[in-house]
Amino acid sequence: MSEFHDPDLRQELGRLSGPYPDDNIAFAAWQRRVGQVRRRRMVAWTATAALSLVVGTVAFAAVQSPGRRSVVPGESADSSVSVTLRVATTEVEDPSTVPAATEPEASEPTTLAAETAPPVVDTAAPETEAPDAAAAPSNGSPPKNNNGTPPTPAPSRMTQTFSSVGGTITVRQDGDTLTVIAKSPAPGFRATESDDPGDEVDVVFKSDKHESRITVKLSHGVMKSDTNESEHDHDNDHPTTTDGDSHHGGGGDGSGSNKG
Amino acid sequence: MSEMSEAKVVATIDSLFRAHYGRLVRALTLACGDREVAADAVQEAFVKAHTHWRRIQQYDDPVGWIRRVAINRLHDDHRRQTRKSKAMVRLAGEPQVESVEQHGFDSDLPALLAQLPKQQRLAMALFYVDELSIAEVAGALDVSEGAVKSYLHQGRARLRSVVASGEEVHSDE
Repeated sequence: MSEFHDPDLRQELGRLSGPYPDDNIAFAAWQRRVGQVRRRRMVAWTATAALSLVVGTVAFAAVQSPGRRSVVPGESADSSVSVTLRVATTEVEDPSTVPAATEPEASEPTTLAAETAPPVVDTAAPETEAPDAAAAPSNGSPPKNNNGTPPTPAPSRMTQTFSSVGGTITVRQDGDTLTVIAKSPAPGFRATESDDPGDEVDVVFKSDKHESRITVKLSHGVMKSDTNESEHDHDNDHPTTTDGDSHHGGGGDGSGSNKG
Repeated sequence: MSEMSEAKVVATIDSLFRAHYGRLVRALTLACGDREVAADAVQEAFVKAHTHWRRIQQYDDPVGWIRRVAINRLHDDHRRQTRKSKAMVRLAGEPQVESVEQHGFDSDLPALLAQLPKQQRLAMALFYVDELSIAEVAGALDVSEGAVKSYLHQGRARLRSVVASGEEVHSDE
């Protein structure tokens, strides 16, 4: 028997602690509380799962968004972003090219620069000329215009108009080939083209009394014109020759030569 | 948790509930003086037991775990109540006297019981009302068996005089 065994004290304390609770009522209350806890946990799990799904979707969309590459190019490891930056560098090095759009899919910047050049020529109309434009020479000293300054490197394709008394011609330079793409004889004149396309074209405007010969040839990649005006007066035939280069032949206003 | 295992868990807890709930509520009522608070603490302990039953069922004494959870809940509630009372005293500027009536008792025995230290009161309640052994009380309070014996000796010495005098009064009548 324990030294603490005390039936009287046990009875008094038992009386103070009150009657036994109803187990059925208490168990029903316990089941309600368990249901509440279960519902709370279910809501918490659902909310967590939904939140995780939303966050994951947003993060995936942010990673996959193409706009992110242009906004934060330095933080992206995507190779297309670095290609874009290289294209921009190429544009600075060659200001004569006017690329309308970059090609992010291309891998080599030099290839991109070559691909961006053609659209510039395609958009040039025959009447839009670059009078001071001159292509860079492949070898030798750079050519100089009448002002003595080195000409600006010109694109490989361009058109120029040259005028004479007998009419006006428009010549297109396509690399090392010159082609007469338009001839406009003056009233009373008729045009004859003497040569096929090549590095030199020769157009003659004839009338009953006058003959104008415009010869355009390439000199260091630059079109130069030679206009020869002559009268058909057999008694007093005074042919006049005028040399000119592309500087005089351009301008779009047809004043491609010095008239004698 | 599948339907079958859930039903099994509920059945197991049901048997534990019916065997120990009433005794535990009565013991904690004696310890804290408030039957509602005691019942709430025990209910909460059984709810937690249901939540963590997979782990608790592997214990040697699942009921001991439930008992300790209920006692801890009672301690937390007591601390919360104490802070609230002190805050009320500070706000009102008057000392709040804890009367015997606050515990719902109307004799000298409850007053003496309320004056006992909390651990001593709990030891008395678990030993005399929940009818636990010295070792079980020590496990529930997380103290040594010697400490439990000390609590019981001191508590019984203080309460025994009232119980004895009460018996004398009852016998005189």
